[in-house]
Amino acid sequence: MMPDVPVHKARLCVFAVINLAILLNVPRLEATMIVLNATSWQIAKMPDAPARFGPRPSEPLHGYLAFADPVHGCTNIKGPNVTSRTLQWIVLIKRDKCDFDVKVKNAQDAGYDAAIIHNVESDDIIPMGSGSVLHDRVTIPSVMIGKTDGYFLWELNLKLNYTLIIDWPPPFNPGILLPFAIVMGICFLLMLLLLVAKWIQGYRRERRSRLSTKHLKKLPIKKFKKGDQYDVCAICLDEYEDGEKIRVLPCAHAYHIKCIDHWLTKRKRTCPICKRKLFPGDHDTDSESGTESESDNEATNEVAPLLTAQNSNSRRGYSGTNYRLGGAAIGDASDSSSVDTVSDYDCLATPSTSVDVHGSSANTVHLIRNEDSSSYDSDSDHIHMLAAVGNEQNPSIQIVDDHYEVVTTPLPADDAGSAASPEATGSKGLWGLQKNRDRRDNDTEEV
Amino acid sequence: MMQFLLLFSRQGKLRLQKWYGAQATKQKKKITRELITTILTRKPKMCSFLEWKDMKVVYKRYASLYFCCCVEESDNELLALEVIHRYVELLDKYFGSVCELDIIFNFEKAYFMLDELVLGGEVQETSKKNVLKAIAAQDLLQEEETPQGFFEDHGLG
Repeated sequence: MMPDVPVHKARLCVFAVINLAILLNVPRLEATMIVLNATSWQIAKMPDAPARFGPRPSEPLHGYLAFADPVHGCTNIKGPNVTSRTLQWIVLIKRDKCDFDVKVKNAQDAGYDAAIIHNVESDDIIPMGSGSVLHDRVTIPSVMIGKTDGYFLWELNLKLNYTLIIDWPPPFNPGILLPFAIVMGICFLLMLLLLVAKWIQGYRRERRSRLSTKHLKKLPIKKFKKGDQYDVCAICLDEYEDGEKIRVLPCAHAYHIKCIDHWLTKRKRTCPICKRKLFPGDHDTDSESGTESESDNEATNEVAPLLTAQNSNSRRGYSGTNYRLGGAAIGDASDSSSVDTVSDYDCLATPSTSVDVHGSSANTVHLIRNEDSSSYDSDSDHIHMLAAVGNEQNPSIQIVDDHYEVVTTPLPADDAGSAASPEATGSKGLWGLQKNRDRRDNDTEEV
Repeated sequence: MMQFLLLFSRQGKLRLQKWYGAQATKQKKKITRELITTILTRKPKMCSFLEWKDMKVVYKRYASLYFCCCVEESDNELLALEVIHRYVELLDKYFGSVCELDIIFNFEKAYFMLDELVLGGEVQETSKKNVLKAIAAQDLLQEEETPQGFFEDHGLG
């Protein structure tokens, strides 16, 4: 059901997560400590890590280096040479033997302004923590450096007045993270929305392409008998056995009922073999009338004949003008049936055509053309054109030609019946103007 | 007098056009586009006639094709419809169950037929028989004139 998440999106997700992690970790990275000689010349630069306890000054701390005595600083340390207070004093203490905070507390008690504790086993730098309650009373900052750097410092000749600058990393400020968090959050949200939208879209498309059970029931089910033209179900590749229920799709492809129903209701409403739509033109089920759109869709085919059998009387042997067309154009489709009956009748008896024109008045005008079957010639059908030309002179129906009789009848209930028998209409005594056709005139036209 | 005749598909592709009045190409294109969009949006049950500018447009849909012609206001629209149908019947008779593809591939024949039927915007020949006779004669002439290849001549084609 869940559409596959594209690879690039997944990558983006991972990238965002990593970025966020890095962002959060930035303040934890080690700060640096710079060693200067007496002429303020930088001789070394080493990484350090501030302790978790004690204050963390915002300004870099500049001070003289002193060595702790005892080196581990677990007991009281000798104080600094207080004669020089131009700079602060920083004491270097070895790790081990006791807790970090004890060492720092001792340095603080001795009057140092900061403490450096160096590792003794490796160059690893860890932010110093403390297990005892002493750390609450620590008021000086302290940092940790690695083993190599620590021994480097021990080697220095203190007479040469080396100084240190301890650069404190800026304290972690959640405020600066907020914009990032907002941006990332928006990105995440957008991605999530996009994903949800895509999923909904896919779900809808899938749903639209599936077949409803109502439509499924319309498809014929057959019990397989030996000798049927179907042999193998294309889905499960099993041969049909006697009495098995198979469903035959409109494209004449057959499948097991359990195989095809799953496909049709869960996947697509097409034949799996030929991809033909089961119900042409029902791609949107909520169209107002199914039959109309169906015929509409068929007609859009480029190979559909322009003149269909129901659209043309000429297919039924009479090549006369198709008044079905006129009827449809006037917009009264119900009349076309009566016209059809008339032409059917005409084909049997005499080739006369009638057209029903429903005008604004409640009258029906039958335009009837009488011809003898003997003199009938398909070529003479252009008389109709003349009749139509006659229309021009009068906005109402007025077709008077030698070959026509215009019979007006008040719109009867049995419209089709009266239309079907023009002779009967005349004999009913409904008023009409009738002119017998002139054979001679017709002959001249045929020349 | 008929002003012009357009044949276009349901997708709005122009298949045939015949102009009986002088129009600039730009104007023709504009009119065509306008009419096609107007007619394609109309529902099947709507009237086949529509007043357009100071003229009347008569259209009729046959399967996938719309036949649309424009006549003057004094002309009879039923007559125009009749002419359209006559033309369709001619095509049908000539091609035998004509479809849109026939007209696409043999548009010159369709034009010939239209020229036989309508000339200068007026109906020229009402008889289908005569029109088809003329077209058949034309086809025959065309066949005779078509140069045959060497291989075809010797039955190797």
